[in-house]
Amino acid sequence: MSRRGRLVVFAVAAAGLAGLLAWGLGGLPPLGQTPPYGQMLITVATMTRQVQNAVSGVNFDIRLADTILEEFLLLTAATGVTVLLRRLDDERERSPEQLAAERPAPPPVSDAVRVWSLGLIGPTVVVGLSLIAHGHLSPGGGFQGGALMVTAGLLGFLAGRPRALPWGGGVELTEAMEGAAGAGIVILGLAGVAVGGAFGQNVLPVGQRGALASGGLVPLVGGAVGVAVASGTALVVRAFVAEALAIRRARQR
Amino acid sequence: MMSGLAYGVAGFVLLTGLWGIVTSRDSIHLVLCLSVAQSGTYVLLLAIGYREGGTAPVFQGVPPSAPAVDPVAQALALTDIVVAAVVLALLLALAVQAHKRFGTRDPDELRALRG
Repeated sequence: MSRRGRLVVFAVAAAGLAGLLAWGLGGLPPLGQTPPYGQMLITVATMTRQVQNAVSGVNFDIRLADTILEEFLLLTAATGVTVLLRRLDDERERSPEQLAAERPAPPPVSDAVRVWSLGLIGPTVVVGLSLIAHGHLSPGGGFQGGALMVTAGLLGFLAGRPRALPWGGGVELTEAMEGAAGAGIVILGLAGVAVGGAFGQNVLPVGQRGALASGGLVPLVGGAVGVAVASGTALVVRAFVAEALAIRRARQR
Repeated sequence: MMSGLAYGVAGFVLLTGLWGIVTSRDSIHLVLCLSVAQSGTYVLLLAIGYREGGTAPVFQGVPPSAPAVDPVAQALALTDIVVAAVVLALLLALAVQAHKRFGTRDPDELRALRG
């Protein structure tokens, strides 16, 4: 189809979609009025479960099953990216030694980038751990903290030798962490079944709202999600870096 | 009036992203346009969860009885972001492989399936 023809088709379809959106969104309650379900969950999260951050209460306790599916989605995507960017039959993956010996050598990273990257690793790790550990108390949680932990890894990559593949032997360890954290969330959910209750039941004592040890299972699930997100994202990043740096067509050797 | 604005922005962002996808000449640009289109869903979710005069649903120094925005919509926005990130990663991986196989980033030049 010509570009012009495609634009005509799109204009018709977009007009139809815009009409449907206006119709559908027009039927929503006006801005500022929320259904009572959210308010009910706030009461459950803060009063029954003693979780100060109601969003974490929803994610890691009340709707734990949804979060497990979300985590499996991340696992599936990490698998998919790794498979898509694998070494194909007519390719070879160059070893770190071959990369280091490559001539001409890549231009060196500027000192400013290295200093700032190195200096930011520590604070990034601390903030990431704090976000994970306080996910039930203040804004944050496993997803946000896990993403920051991967950022710390990327900063280390920037500060080091960019041609040295990250986590050369650590890939299997990262895969194991991803699997263990994913299984850990399911096991924490099964704890409720083990004591004769429902899946995802918060079986630990919930403590006092606002304390670090409060919310029962919520901080534990948050920690497991943090590990799972960090390792899953790290695997995705690693696959892209390996694809860009190390994998070459075999005949270009 | 305000609800029309918030929902209108969500629809506008979605349609803008779709327009970018249709007219794109670069697969990386196309993937980013998809993420623009998806950003409309963030606006929509936050608008649905908005409550007049509500605080964030984090009750640090605020009594739990205080009016707050809907935590379910915020949890859904978090899920949305995770989905956006993984879809972005998968599509970028496909773009990388398409470029490697066909030597082009222009989606128009990927006319027929080969291989």
